[in-house]
Amino acid sequence: MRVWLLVIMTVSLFGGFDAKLTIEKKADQRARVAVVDGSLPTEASRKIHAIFVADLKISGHFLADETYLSGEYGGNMVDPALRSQAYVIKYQYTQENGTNTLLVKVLRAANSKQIVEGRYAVSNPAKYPFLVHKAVSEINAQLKFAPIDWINRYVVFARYTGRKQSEILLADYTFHYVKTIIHGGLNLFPHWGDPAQKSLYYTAYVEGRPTLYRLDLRTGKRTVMTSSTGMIVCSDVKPDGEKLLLTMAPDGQSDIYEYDIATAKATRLTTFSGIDVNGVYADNGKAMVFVSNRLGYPNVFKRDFTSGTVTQVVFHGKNNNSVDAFGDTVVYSAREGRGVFNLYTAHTDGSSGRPLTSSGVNQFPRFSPDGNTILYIKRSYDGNAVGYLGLKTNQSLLFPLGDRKIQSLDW
Amino acid sequence: MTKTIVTIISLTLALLFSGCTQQRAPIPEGGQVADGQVSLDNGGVTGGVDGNGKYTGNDGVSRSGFKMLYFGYNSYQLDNGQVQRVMGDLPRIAALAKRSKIRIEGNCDEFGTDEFNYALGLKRAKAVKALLVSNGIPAAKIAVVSYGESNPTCRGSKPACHAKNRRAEINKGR
Repeated sequence: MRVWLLVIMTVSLFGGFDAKLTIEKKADQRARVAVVDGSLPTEASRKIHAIFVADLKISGHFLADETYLSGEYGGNMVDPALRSQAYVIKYQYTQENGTNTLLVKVLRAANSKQIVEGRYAVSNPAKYPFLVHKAVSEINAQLKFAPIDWINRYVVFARYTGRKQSEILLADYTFHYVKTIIHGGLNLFPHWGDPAQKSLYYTAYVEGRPTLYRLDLRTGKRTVMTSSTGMIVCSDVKPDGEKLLLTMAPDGQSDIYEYDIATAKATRLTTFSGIDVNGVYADNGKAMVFVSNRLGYPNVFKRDFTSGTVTQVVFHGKNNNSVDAFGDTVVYSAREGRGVFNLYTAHTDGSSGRPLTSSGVNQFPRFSPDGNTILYIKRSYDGNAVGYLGLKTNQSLLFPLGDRKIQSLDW
Repeated sequence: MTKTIVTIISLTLALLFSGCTQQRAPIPEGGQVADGQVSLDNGGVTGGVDGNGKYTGNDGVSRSGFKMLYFGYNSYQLDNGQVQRVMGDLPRIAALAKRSKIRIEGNCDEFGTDEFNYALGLKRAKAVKALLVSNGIPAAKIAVVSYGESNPTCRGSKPACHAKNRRAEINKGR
């Protein structure tokens, strides 16, 4: 319960982007909504309430009342005290005969009319957060709002557990569901292998040699893709799943290669004598952005696949060491003084974007599949948190992650 | 939206990931050899930090007993002091190279993104390899590897502790 209260407090404290950075302030057009727990109240049903609130908030379409409310699920009557809301969501969570079921209905507060009803079930009780995510994404769709299907996705991440020890885990986007899937030794840089999240790539050290594996999550089958002395990282997967951008160092020199899965052939894309890493497909696959210290400090550059030309993308900061791309937009982390890393967007043509954070240690930015939301890790003295920034909605959320250091992540 | 919409869905998430919860663990490398010189908190740090962020202490040896080599922030240049530390160990390194392979491990502090840090650690290892090769150690005898920030010798929060992790280690290879 203490942990959950912390989640709620964190959501409240960090709600919205850094206030100074919210340039446009429109009249709030979000639909007001209250969430009523129609279950016999349990710790799980209370957590579900908080996840409902978080999902509704990050959608950007709902102004959710964070107050925990309980009441009957059966009837459709809306408490008169909730008439000021646009909608009332009632839910009932049950665990019977090995099935965990979430019943949900949406009532129009003004006239108690039921406008959406759903039943969601899963056999693994630990996966109850996904029931809520599915319910909210469908309510959102039924009410004709812009899709928020990304909340149904898994996050895959690696975290350190000791010296030369790290594990790879799966989580829902709120990190209420967390499951270790790979452990023992160094397991690093997990990256989804396909849009449907049926496979992933990761790096493990086998007898000291960095080796790239592909793990099929449906069968559990592990396949060695390739290996390299020094280091090997799968930085990105082409949307068609046929090619990978790898950082390898076959001769001790780290460069970016494009690896063709069908032919098992790697084509070297960078030849700079310094450090080139973190290749990410950009401009709809016509180019890649990457991090290089070719100007004497880590910064973001672009390589056009047709011309081979390399151009500077970011003209701000002196230590920009992490980048992700969606179309012609990039998000990067810039070190700005001791212990301060902030996130910014920019465009692949070199034009600047906007700041997203203004304080703290904000790293590992990753676009959602629709490009509208950014996931990142925020570190502080209180531990790690996973954060989400809605680029169109200006909504944000943070969920505590504990104090183990996150190594890398993908979603 | 006057009509009630009924949606009945059963998630298949359990099926999607069933059977994928375990894998054979890769060969673990950490913890196999206790490093008597390792201090995992600020208490073991005896040196300071110079203007470039390099650790100034003379302490620290690798598992194979060779002096640790320290670097500045984001740097993979061995300064004169570190070169001298290598040269002091060179006879023993050469002797080891005659009977075994040598592995140079590059390491970083906890700042920055891990992918860049792994590359930085590798450059540090490569800088040490270049020095050894230029002093007669056969290149074929030397392997380089980066552990990024995964293998700290000091886990405290003092600048000197972070500096002590910006290092390369010379060890017996396999």
